[in-house]
Amino acid sequence: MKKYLTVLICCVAIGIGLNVQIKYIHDQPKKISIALTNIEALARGETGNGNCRFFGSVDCPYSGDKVLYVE
Amino acid sequence: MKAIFSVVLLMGLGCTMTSCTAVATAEAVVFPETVSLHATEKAIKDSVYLKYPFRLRLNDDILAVIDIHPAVDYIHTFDYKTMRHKQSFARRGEAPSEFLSAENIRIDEYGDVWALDANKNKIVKLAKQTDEQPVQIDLDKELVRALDFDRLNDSVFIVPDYTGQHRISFVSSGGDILRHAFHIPSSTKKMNAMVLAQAWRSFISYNSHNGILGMATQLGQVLEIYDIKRERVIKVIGQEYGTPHFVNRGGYAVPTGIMGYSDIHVGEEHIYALFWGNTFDDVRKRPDDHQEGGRFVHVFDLKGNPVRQYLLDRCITGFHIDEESGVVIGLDVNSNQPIVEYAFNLD
Repeated sequence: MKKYLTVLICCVAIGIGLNVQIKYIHDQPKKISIALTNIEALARGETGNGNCRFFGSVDCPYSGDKVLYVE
Repeated sequence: MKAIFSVVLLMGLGCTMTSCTAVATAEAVVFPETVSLHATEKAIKDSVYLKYPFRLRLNDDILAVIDIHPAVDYIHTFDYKTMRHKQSFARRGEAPSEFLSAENIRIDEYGDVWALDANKNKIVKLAKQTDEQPVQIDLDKELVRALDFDRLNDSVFIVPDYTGQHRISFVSSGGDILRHAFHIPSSTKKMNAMVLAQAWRSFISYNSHNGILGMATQLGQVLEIYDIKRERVIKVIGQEYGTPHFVNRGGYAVPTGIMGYSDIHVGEEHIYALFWGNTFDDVRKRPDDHQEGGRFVHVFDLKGNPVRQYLLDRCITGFHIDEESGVVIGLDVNSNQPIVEYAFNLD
């Protein structure tokens, strides 16, 4: 009985460990992607004026900045 | 089997309807002919970085270019023959002599460069020499954000703004409003005038020889032609299909349609308008794949009849048209060498 319990606990521990590892690996591209998006946003000059995005030639109605588009 | 057939049929119908909409938008005006033009790059010899060049004017081989997102100066001049940098003006900043924006530039018959700073509500005649002081004209407080300007004559400017009560205002050299003219050609009723004016944001060009004023909507495909001398509307092109699409979000117009025209030139015999045509939906979905600028130069006669469409090999944001020599100088904001030249022949 003890043997079975030990094996069971080991299996659960390995399972949890694997799950954490898989989740970490799975989240990595997302994190990199978000970071890259942020860098791109900075490079394109996100204005930060409410819903006006990036820099362009459209007048942001809220701020008067020239932006790519308004949301 | 039947179900599969139905699904395929529905998908086909969906695709057809989508492409029809796109074609209808692009082909709203039917031009008798389309001519492709190929650019010649005019490489700037000096290290002048133009982040977002938007307007340019050529006068006696001096090319003036506005960068609307500059690090330091908004306006730069170049010798067009050698493409050597000459001067930089309109320093970005909040000091009295500095600029907070630059919407457009005009060069008068004396070679003086005039610029509009909408954020400071000023029109400024730039100093040619470093020891000169620029002439600053404070615009009437009744104007809500002057959007563009052109010179009616030596002492009067034509200015559209966001008030929405009228299409243009005539402003004296002292900055006072002399009178207003025309109305936004919208059939939309019960809309806040200022919201409507934001949606109908237009660029202007006036030719003092023939007295024709052209206005081109940035957020739609409408081109208005006015006879300023007789103060009458000649034609509004695109009123049925090209009006700007927008939503009123808390008293602000949020564009939802297309990027329409970004520059206009009224010549001696023709009107030239630079058309983009891409939808804001596409820009929002793929901002990184998007190229700023338009590839179409629409040409109309002075009565508003379509004459020809030029298809450019580059996307440009602004242009200078020399009708006599048949040259278009364009600004390709997507390139490290943004100044390009096209040769055209209207015969």
